[in-house]
Parts: sequence; C-alpha cells; structure tokens
Amino acid sequence: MQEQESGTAVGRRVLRLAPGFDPGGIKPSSVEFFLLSRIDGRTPWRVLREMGGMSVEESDLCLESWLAAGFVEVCHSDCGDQGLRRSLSCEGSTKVSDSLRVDPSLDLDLQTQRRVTELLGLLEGPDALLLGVSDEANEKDLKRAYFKLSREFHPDRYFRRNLGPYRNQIEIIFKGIQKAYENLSRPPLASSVVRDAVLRKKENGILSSDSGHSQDESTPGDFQGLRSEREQRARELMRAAAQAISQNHFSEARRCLEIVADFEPETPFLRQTLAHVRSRSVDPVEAVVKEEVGQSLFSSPSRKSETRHRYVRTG
Amino acid sequence: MGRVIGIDLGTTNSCVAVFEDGRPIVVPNSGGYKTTPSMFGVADDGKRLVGHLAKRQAITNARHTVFATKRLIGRRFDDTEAQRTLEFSPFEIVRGPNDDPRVRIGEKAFTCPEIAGIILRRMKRVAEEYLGEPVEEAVITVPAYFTDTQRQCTRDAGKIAGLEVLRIINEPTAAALAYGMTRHGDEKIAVYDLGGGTFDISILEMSSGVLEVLATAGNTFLGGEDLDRRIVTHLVQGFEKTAKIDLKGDAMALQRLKDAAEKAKCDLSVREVAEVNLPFITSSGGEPQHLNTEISRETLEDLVQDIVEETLKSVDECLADAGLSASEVNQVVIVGGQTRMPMVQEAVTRHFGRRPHKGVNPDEVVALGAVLHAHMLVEEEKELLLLDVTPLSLGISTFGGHFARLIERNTTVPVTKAHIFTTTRDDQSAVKIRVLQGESDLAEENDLLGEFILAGIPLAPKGEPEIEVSFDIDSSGMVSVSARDLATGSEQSIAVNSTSTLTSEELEQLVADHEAGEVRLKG
Ligand SMILES: Nc1ncnc2c1ncn2[C@@H]1O[C@H](COP(=O)(O)OP(=O)(O)OP(=O)(O)O)[C@@H](O)[C@H]1O
Ligand SMILES: [Mg+2]
Repeated sequence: MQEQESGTAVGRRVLRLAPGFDPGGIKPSSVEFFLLSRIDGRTPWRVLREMGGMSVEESDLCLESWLAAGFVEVCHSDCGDQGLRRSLSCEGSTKVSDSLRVDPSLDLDLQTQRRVTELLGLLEGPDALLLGVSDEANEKDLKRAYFKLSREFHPDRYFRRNLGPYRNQIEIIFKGIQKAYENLSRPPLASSVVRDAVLRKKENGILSSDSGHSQDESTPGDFQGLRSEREQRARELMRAAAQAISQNHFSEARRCLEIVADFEPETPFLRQTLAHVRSRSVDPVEAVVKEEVGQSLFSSPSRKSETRHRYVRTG
Repeated sequence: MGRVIGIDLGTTNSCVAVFEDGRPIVVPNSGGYKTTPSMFGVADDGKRLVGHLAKRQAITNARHTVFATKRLIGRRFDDTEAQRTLEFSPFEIVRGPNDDPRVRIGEKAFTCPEIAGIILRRMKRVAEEYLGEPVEEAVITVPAYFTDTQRQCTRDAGKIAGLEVLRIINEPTAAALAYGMTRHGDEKIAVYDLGGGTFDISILEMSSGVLEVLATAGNTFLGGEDLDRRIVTHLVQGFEKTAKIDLKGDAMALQRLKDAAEKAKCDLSVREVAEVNLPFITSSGGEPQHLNTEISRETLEDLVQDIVEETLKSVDECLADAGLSASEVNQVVIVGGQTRMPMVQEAVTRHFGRRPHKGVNPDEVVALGAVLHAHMLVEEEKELLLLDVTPLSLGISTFGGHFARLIERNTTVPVTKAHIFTTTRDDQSAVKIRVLQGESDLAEENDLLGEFILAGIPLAPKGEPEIEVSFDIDSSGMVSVSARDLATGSEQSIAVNSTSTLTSEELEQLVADHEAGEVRLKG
C-alpha cells in the first residue's frame, strides 16, 4: 500500500493543480475541499497529509486519487533539498549535498561519514524513522534510541577534530534527533510563543493598537500567532464555501471565498474556484452540479463520515 | 599541548583538579590544603595577596581584603543583589564606567572578572607546581543558574588568568559527572548544591553512557554567606541591646563578626552551643568593649529556617520541570560546604524520603567533575556523554514590552529554534530585536543580552512582513541570534558573546597586564 512508503521520497513530493483543472467539476466534501485548497505548488505531501480534517491514511488516499485522475500533478522542483535547506537556514549553509563528499583526509572515519549522510537524509522524514523506533515505541524505547544516537552525534564527541563540512552537519543532526525525540515523547503543545500571543492579544489588543509606547514601536509582533489565527479563519470560511457549493448556493460561496481572497495569499485553487463560483452566481440557471455517475476515482476504505464519497467528473 | 585542568571557582573556596593515572584528583596548594579561599587583598606595603594569605589579613586590613565577589560578577551596580552586598561590605564597592560594580582598593578599582582572574591564575599555578609543567586549558564551573552575562564574565576571568577556557560547565552537572563515573546502571540523580554564595538543584538521568540533565533550578544569591549574615545581624542586634552600641558602621568590627559568625555556624554543625568571644570589638567613651555571647543550634536554626525552605521550593520547581516526583529520584548527591549543616541534611532527607549519598566529598566533587569533562572533550575515550541544558529561557521583546520565549529553560543544547514575527505598524521598515534571558513575561524584567536592528523591510501594511528570528546555542553554550526578512532574504545577526560587563578593550588591557605580571614557570 502506498501509505507505507509515504515516509521519505513520497512525502517530499510537491503537488500542484493540473493546468486547466476545473474545481467545479468535482464535488468534494468540505474536508476534501480544504485539502484541495492547500495544494499550492509549495507544500510537500508529508505536510498536506497532516493538515487535519481527516486521518493521514485518508489524506494519502485522497491525494493519490486526485493524482491518478489528473486533477493534480507532481511538480518536479528539487523540493527535498529545499525543505532541508530551509531547516538549515540558520547555519547559513546552502548546498548540503555538494559539500558532503566522502573525504578520507578528514579526522572522521569513512563509516561515520556515510552515517552522517544517511542521517541527513532522514531529517526531513518522520521522527520515528529518524530515531529508528517503531510508531508504537514507548517512552523507554524512545529514550534508549535518543541516547544511542546522541552518543553517536553529539558535537562533544568530535571536539577539536578536523571534520571539514561534517562539523556543521553533525550539529544539525544532533539538533534534529533532539527535536524528533521531543516531538515523540511529549504530546505536541502549541508553541509557547503562540500561546503567549493569544493571551496577550486578549489583554492588550496588540493587533488593533496602532501606536503603543514609543519605545515599543519597532519591536516586532508575533507573526505565527497571527497567522495561525488567520489560517483558522480561512479554514472556516473555506469549509462554509464548500458547504455552500455542495448545496448550489453559489452566491454565498462566493462571499465566503471573496473574504478569504482578501487576506489569504492567492492559490491557483482559490483563484479558479472563485472564478467558478462567480460565473455560477451570475448565472444561477447554469449552476447545477451534475450528480450523475462519472468515473469513480477511488473507493472508500471506510464509510465513516461525509469525508468518504465518490468523486464525479462532469462532462 | 599541555595538560587540561578543572577549576571550581567558588564564592568562598576554589578547588583545582587534574587528570592523572586514569582518574581525576584534586591538587593541594602549597600549604597542603585542597581548597583555597577565593579571597584577594592588598597588604599595607602594596603586595597583592591571594588565598590563605589574603584571608589571614582580612580582619586587620578589612577594607583592602576582598571576598565573595562571585556574588557581584556579571551583575549591574544597581541590581538588588549588588546593593545588598554593598550594604554589608567591609571593602569599598563603586560604580564602574559600564555600570558594573567594581572593588576599590586604594587608587585602583578592580573589576569582578579581574578579581576572579587573579584567583583563577592562582589555581592554575597550584596545578602547574604539582604537574611541573605549564597549563593552558581549563574547564571552569559556574552555578547552573548563572545567566549568560555571568558566564561570559567568568570566561573573561579565565582569559585574564592566561587560560583558554574549553568550556564553562554547571557546578551540579560537574558533581553529577564525578559521581556518575563511579556508577553503572540506570539512575535518576538529584544534585543539591548549597555553597557559600549560591544554591543549585539539578535533576539528571543516567543511562547507557549518557548523563542527561533533565532540569535545573536555583538561586544565585543564596548560600552560606546569607546564613553568616543572619548571625551577624543577630549579634549586632544583641550587642546593641546590651551595650547600646551600633557596630554596623565599623568595617573591622563587621569583619570580625562575620568571621566569628561563620566559625560559630560551623561549630554548630557538630555541637549544640557555640561561643562567640570577641574582645575589644570596639570602644565607647574611651572604654574598650567586648562581645561575649553564646548561640545555640536551635537559635541558628530559627534564624535561617526560611533560607532552607527557600531551597526546597526550588527543588520542587526543578522536579516539576523534570516531570518527576521526589520519590522517583534514586540518588541524592549533596554538594557544597553548607550541606554539612545537620538541618540542611535533615530537610533534604525529609523532602526526598531518602538519605543523601555520602560517597563524594562535597568540597572536591565539582572540581573533579570539571577535569573529567575537560578530559572527555580532548581525549579519544568517551565513556560518558553529557547532555546539558540551558537554565534560563531565551527570547526577544515584542510589541507591548512582552517577552516571547524562543528557547524555553531546560532545553538540551546545542539547539536552534526559530519563530516568525511581523511588524506592528503600517510601512514599518525596521524592527529592533532585543535579545533577552529570564523567566519574566515582562521583557524589561529579564536580562538584556544584546540588541540589533533589521532594516530595509519593504513597505507593507502591518502584520504582512514575515521576519524569521532564529536562536542558536552551540555546544559550548554560545548564543547567537539572527533575524531574516523572508521576503527579501536580508539578514542581521549577532553573536551574544559580548555581554560581559567588560568592554573588549578593557579585557585586552587586563589580559596584557596580568600576562606581564606573571613570573613564568619553565616547562
Ligand atoms: N561544617 C560546616 N557547617 C556549616 N557550614 C559550613 C561547614 N563547612 C563549610 N560551611 C559553609 O559552606 C560554605 C562554603 O561552601 P563551599 O566551599 O562549598 O562554597 P563555594 O563553592 O565557595 O561557593 P559556591 O559554590 O556557592 O560558589 C561557607 O558558607 C561555609 O561557612
Ligand atoms: Mg561550590
């Protein structure tokens, strides 16, 4: 099954909407609609599948089916490397893979050099894979794995040795291991910065106040806090729009989408859908989504909820 | 390359250890003592005195004998801690040009890093005389709860002493390392360290060759000195009642009282009653006055009860941060001279429900751990890996004067954390990144480590620009911070290693001065 391998290579694929794709042609549930709306040519699969709304397996299945039907396609940008580079941005290193050639002149045995390359490859994948534990690993297993890898990759192990480009990479790996361990061993909490921001907003109305103390003027505000709120709002509106479309209430859908378009970056999907509902809302007679049987894109593994139903292609 | 040493630079006493015959050992000084008083003085003839010699003149030359400057290092003159020290100090503390407290002896105002440097140089010398060869590199310990500024100043002190500081490590961590070397198997360890000036509590986990610090807490201004001070106040009040004389303004009397108070305190660790006998403490109307009284253990315990309780509060905080209950700790290691007090031992025993481990020498274990760490760094054999944490949260100041934490306290280092911020005004073209350390939600209550400005942000409505602020702590504990405008890619960063209270010119000058004054040992 596909979801088995969706760890690394598959997870790194980046999808975009197929040219000429007409969102009016399918009738997604609101969660599927939301997933579709997040396909923007930038977000990799592994992020998309965790977007929420449905389970990871369901998301995988959904994405696979759209891919198979030609609604979406894989854009072949060098995205794996980009993701990695983003996570390394603070090191200032650009091309990881180029500088990391096996180099016998370094004070680091070849086997370890290969291990470094191997672990670097796992950094972007699932945490459990990086730590080499199963998904069901308990706290003890996790700690054992974390300690074992720490002994291998903690920078103190290589104090003052001539490691060339490997020095930076070893530190990056250690940080990655630590983060993976943190993620797996604790229930994911909202970052405290975001938490603080939300609290603060309640107290002070940080967003609305135009000028605070003159001394504060140039200190930054919390972007991620604002953004997560904005995303939340966008999500609600998109769901409402999806609901409206499925009930042929195009004017209402249009209103929702126009609000979203006001404050969210425009994705091709949003643009096309908006164009679609605009055309439908001015000409309500045409606004009929055909429900006849079309090509079945995937079959539902569960009949759990409204997330599961068949897609039809019109025309 | 020469040998590496480990130095426990204490508030009251310092201790140096070397690695020999496969194990760490503490080196005695020329007087045969394994610890050296962290004291510095200038004799009437202008001669500089360090250690026991300085301590010997403390009473007769109180104004020119300096002690416990570790309580001042890395602080600002106006900090309450500095002010509290000032109030009782027999030597003169003045405001330095960088708003730092300095000690004036005669014409010269000594910075705290310089005094620490003088003591470190002495410890280096002790090791060199023992080894018969020059020493260049050291691991130096600091209280776990020291801020970045205090650590940086200690690093500078190392430089002034002519040492390359391989690492600054935490005292309780060093103690745990020394303890851990002798153990096998999995354990959760608490290290309770009550010394002369500071209190630290750390909870660690040891398993399969890794010693992981789970959490650490403490108070950098709580220790034996505070107990002494309570006793002095008690004696001064008593004397005021009986002799109607206030001794507070009399430097020599205060120094004698402090000395007597500490002696009585130590006596009371083994006795029920201690005598305080200070003839000719002062004179009044031409008549010599004597102070002669007794203190019982019970009186002492009443005087300091709240200090001991205060430490237990930190213990609870630390346990909570580590996610453990007191009963889940397998071993309690007590460190620091003040833990010899029976009341402290009883409190620890009661709190953890087990007797503390007796196998380590509370005066030596920190230095032993320091040299062990130095040895593990520079040598190939890596028996035990240390995973240490950053004791205090790091972050920046945001709109409205709030503190946004990027790295929470007790995060394992090295670590990198990033978060995206934005502007708060329309068409704002620059943001100021103020790097702070501390636990208060109010930015101004935390320690400012540095600041910089990211300019050239393209004009946009407020809330639009995305500015990624990234914090990095490397394995030697150095903090660096960068801010990047994600739209333009333009970036600004600082390495927060200039947070010492010394400017780099001052530091260079001091290093040169002390280098010149050194009589070199031939190696
Ligand atoms: N037998 C004793 N009973 C009570 N207190 C004692 C005893 N022996 C030493 N002390 C106290 O212990 C303190 C010194 O302890 P220690 O040498 O461990 O501190 P330090 O390492 O110099 O300071 P710190 O670690 O706080 O920087 C002094 O306050 C001293 O009075
Ligand atoms: Mg100590």
